[in-house]
Amino acid sequence: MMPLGISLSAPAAVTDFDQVLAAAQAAEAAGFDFLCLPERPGLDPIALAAALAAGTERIGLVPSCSAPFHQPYNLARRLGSIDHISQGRFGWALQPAPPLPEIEHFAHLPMPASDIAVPRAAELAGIVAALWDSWDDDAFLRDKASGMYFDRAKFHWLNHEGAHYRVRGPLDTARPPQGRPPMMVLGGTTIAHDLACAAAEILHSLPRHLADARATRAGLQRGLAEQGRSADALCILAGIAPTSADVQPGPLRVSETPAMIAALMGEWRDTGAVDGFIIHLSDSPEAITQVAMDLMPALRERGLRDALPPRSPLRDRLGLHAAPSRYAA
Amino acid sequence: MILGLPIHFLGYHQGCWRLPDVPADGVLQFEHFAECARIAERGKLDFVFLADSAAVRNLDDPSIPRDREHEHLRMEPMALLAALAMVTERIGLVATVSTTYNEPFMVARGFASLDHIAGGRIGWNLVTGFSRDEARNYGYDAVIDSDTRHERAREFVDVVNGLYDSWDDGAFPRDRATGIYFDRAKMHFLDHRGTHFTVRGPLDVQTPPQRHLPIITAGYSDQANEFTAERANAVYSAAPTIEVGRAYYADVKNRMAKYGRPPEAVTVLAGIMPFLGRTRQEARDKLDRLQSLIQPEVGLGMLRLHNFPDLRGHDIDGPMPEVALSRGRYDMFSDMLLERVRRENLTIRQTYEVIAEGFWQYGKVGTASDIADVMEEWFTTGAADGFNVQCPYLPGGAADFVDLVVPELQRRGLFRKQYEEATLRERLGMAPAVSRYATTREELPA
Repeated sequence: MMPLGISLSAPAAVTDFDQVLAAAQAAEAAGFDFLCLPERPGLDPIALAAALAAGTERIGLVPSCSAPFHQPYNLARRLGSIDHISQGRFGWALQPAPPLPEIEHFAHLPMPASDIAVPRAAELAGIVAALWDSWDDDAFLRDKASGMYFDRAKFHWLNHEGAHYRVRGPLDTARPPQGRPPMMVLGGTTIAHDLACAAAEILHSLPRHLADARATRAGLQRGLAEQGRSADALCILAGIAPTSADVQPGPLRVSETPAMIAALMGEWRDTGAVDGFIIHLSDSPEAITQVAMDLMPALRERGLRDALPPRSPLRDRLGLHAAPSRYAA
Repeated sequence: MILGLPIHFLGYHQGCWRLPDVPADGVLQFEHFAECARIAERGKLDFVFLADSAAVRNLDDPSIPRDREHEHLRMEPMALLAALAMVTERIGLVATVSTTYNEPFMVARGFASLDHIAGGRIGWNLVTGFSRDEARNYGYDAVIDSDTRHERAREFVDVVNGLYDSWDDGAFPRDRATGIYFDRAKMHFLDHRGTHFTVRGPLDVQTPPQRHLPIITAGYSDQANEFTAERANAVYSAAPTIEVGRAYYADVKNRMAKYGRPPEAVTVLAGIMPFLGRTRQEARDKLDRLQSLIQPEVGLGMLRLHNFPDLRGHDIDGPMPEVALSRGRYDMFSDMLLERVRRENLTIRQTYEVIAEGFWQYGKVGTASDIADVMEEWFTTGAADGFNVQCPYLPGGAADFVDLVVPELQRRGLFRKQYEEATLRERLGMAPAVSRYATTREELPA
């Protein structure tokens, strides 16, 4: 199965929650693996993801956030909680550097210079993942007869003292169902690729053409090797948009014919340039349903998609390896 | 009468998680919280409430056996509230967020979004964070002093409410014909430059349905009470006797005049812990059953948290030895507790059982009528405007309260039979929030 996500990318602000909910439900019904909720003016993507976790049943949810404005302990507990609420359907996208206007709302904070944005964001992501491992999967006995609620030998102080953060831990919530909900980085810049190689498991790439996609893959493989990570540790998904879609600039615009879009996806995937795709669409549920009705049969014909994917954790849907705790024997 | 139901854990009695009908893993199960919220909504309660503290506290203190307690793992309140908004329709939803370990722009953005998702039902339990364990999760070695925390909290609220005012009513014509999406004259940069924050604005979320979300506080320090009188819309009080409750009530209300606020602008919500039965005997049996589930180690840990020394090694069924109480957060309560220990010659076990049956939230064992009597007396004699109903166990304790006590309160004309107001603000008796720019709009440049 080729992972296939959708990104709600209308250029307008997100103001109507009911529309976002309808869009998420349309994407779920259409069989998309996950829904990206990018940073846009309007409703906060993390709040949206938490609400959608209760308003959907199968689809993965991947909100974006900007690294410099979040405390790792806050992020770990909020995001981990959404993985609990959604029963393992959660992922998150981390932007190492925020867009300029946003910085003006945080002018009292020391902003990291651009050359430390990546190491700082990587440190943040590392702390979040480590906090998620605070409690072993079998830490909770909850034995009503003996009165033991947890096993003291099965939690871990973090005691992180890094260049940018100090966090003691442990986290005050149990390990998320996925262990480590996958982290995405939106590509297209050097710092995004650096962060992806250091800490991410999904790269949302924005190639211009096949050769570009292949070059990106080759560069990322070198970067992963430098970090001591295997080539399949990073799932590369290319953003594309039908030419008629009313979306923010970024993704490659592709021909409207479903058969041609499916052919392009098959070629890119089969040559190893990418692992899958993220289709950028407006927030209109009708547009989502229409694209899916046209495209999904063409993808099934090529063996790239099943009829309706099983209800499973987001990691599984992306073909990522299981994420055992760092403390597991 | 305003009624709130805290649902962040499995109940306020330390033995609750060991009851057969209590889901011991409920603190991590969304369905448990959803069930509690639905029960509260069925009872027409004003709101459910998620208390919070961003740490597992006292985990390294061997005299406090956290491994025998359930309440130290939880879901993060803002995420959980967003999800609860999806499974409820009318009930208010209150989340705890600290002003010490968060950024005002983020909090404004998050709460404004939640208030849109929930259609104006969100409230903010504002805390400043007293725990060193929490501080150490955010890069501090110790807690910032209370004065500084409250100074930061004041400025934080100014920024958050200022950001909510970024857009005037009618700021978004979204006129496809003219192409005008928003009206620039109805947008405001906050341009806040203060001691703790520099925030330009505007907020990138439309004005929340309530405009300014209700703020609920708690705490007993002088700083906390001053903050409550100046800024809060409701406050949680905790009192072991009605006299203490009345004194607290009067104290908060008396402080309000100097901020130009009428006393009714703060709703005082007293903690009450109902051990409820269809008969008094059944209620008593429930309490006894719960008390029998407190492990002695846990009981001694409870005493430690009430300023008592480490009493491990003593006979828990022997008399309370001579002790010197340490000083901490709730000195008045621990002093009152020790007085009672001496007056009644309590054993160590009896002392922690006194705490467990509702000492500093008011515990009452009895029938619905007995519990309604207490609530009526507090409500009508200047001790409370409403209650934070701290059920000993969930969800059963909440269901009992809703099925037995709520009808009794309704019969007495003390509580609503149907939801009327749409927003939490309205339900708390608050007037519509007015933008800080409302009177000066004409003076703004076009």
